[in-house]
Amino acid sequence: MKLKADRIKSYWRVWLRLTLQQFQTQISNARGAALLFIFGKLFRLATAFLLIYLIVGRAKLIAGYELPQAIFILALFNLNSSITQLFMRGIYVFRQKIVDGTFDFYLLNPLSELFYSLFSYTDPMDLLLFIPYLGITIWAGIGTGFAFTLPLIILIIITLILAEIMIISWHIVMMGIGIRYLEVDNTIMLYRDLEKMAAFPINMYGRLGSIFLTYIFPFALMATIPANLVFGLFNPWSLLGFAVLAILELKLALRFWHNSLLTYSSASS
Amino acid sequence: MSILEVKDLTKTFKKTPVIKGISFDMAEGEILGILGPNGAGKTTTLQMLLGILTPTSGSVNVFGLSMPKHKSEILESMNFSSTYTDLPWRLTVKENLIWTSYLYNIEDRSRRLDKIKSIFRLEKLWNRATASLSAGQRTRVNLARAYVNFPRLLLLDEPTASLDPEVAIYMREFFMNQRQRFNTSIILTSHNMAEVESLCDRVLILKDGLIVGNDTPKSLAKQIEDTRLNLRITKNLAGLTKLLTSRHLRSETVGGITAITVKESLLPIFLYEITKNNIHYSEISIDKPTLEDYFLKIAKGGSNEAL
Repeated sequence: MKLKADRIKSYWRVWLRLTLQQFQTQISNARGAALLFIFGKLFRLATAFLLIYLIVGRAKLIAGYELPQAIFILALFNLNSSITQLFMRGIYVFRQKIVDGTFDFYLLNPLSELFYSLFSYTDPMDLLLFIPYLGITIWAGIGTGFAFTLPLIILIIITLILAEIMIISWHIVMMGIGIRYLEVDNTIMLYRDLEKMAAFPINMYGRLGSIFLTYIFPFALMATIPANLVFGLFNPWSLLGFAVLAILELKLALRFWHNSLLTYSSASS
Repeated sequence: MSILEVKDLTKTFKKTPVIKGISFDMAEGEILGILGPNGAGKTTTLQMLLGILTPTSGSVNVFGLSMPKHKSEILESMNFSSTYTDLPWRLTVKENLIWTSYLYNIEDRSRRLDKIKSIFRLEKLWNRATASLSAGQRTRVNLARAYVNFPRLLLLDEPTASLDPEVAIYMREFFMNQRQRFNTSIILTSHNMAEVESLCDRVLILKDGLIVGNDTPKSLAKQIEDTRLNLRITKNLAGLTKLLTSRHLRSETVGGITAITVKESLLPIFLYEITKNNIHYSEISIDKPTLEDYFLKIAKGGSNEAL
């Protein structure tokens, strides 16, 4: 038990140190770039809101949702997406880590190589954006006119956690693909394009699209499902099924990862 | 007690077998050398011992725990240093070692690092960026990094390559000292045969993914029967040439010294025949076979039946 607690403490310390280092590097080396990054992110969010406003302004409804509801879905999506970006930006540099031999170093120390690969590149800029995103989500939630009770907030948090588990699973799969085929960049771009579809109510993609975005790529859990919980359009007991699905996806992803490691030939081999 | 047990280990890359079912073990406190020509499978073997590569089949047990299943526990008491491994170059030496101490969850961090700084003579390099260090200095920092967790088992790949002779001797003495004081076990690969002979209790020779030699450096060298007899002939050189031809012995003359390759067991008879044929010499020396001779014989394709 003590050993496990020590290990968790060790992971926490390492993550914190990595993040601080990353933050120092960004502050000292690229203050201008950091400002541009934040501006770019906020600009993208504003244009997305504008897009929704224009669509709903003409059609009155978007896939059956009113403007405030659609804005809430978009805000939830951005919040969830920023959490993913905050913790798992390391995937963008994963291929490089394999090629230059850094992945060997990940495998060489007592901490899990998966932890390193996924979380060793936490972007503090995303942390800074998390605060306005959270504010926007709360504002958009209030704007829908629905009541936010404590049990409902807990259910939303559970939904978002399940979404993150599934997202982590897919990131693990993409890194496994990276080990096998030295290809991550295009896979992650494909993944991000699919993810962006969840910024809008998934009902607009038809029945097949909804199934695809709910059960295979779980992006519905990022925004539409938690929003539907608020609007009373989703049975909370269904979350049990999603919990099973999330665990199953994680297990399969880990198996794929371990099998991929079998094929790994070190940069120095 | 065995600190390391390797059984029927194989590794195949895309249907090409690189390691073909090797088995060996290692006692606590032993210094084991792994030698082999390029492409023999030394690095692949080390990488499987470290958990970088997953074996295709077979098992690796370190401290009685199975690798890679208990990789984290094993690696807490194990470490690795290679001349060819890069350290994060933007960090200073101090930052690199602090970072390593975090990875190994070292509690008394500052005391440990002070100790490492003094052992590896890093005082002057302490606040310098790793990128600005010479190859030899980097090797020293790499070794220091490998000692941060005071490992029970240490894997060293060419540990003294690019170190200047004085530091190389210091490091060798340090390894021996660590073994004596803390029973640290070391696995070492090196192209410096003299270093392997002086440091290692036992040597494994790998060739084409198989172990073709596994013994003490002395015993391996003894398997080479040929010795070199060096003579400075002062009288009857023609008689010597005739004798060498009749005995089918190889020789070469450099700087007035004739070096004759002769089987160790036949040396007394040969010396007797020299005297009998009235051949005179003013200098004599005998070069006994070394580990290097054994290695060269194996590398060139001599006796190499898998053990």
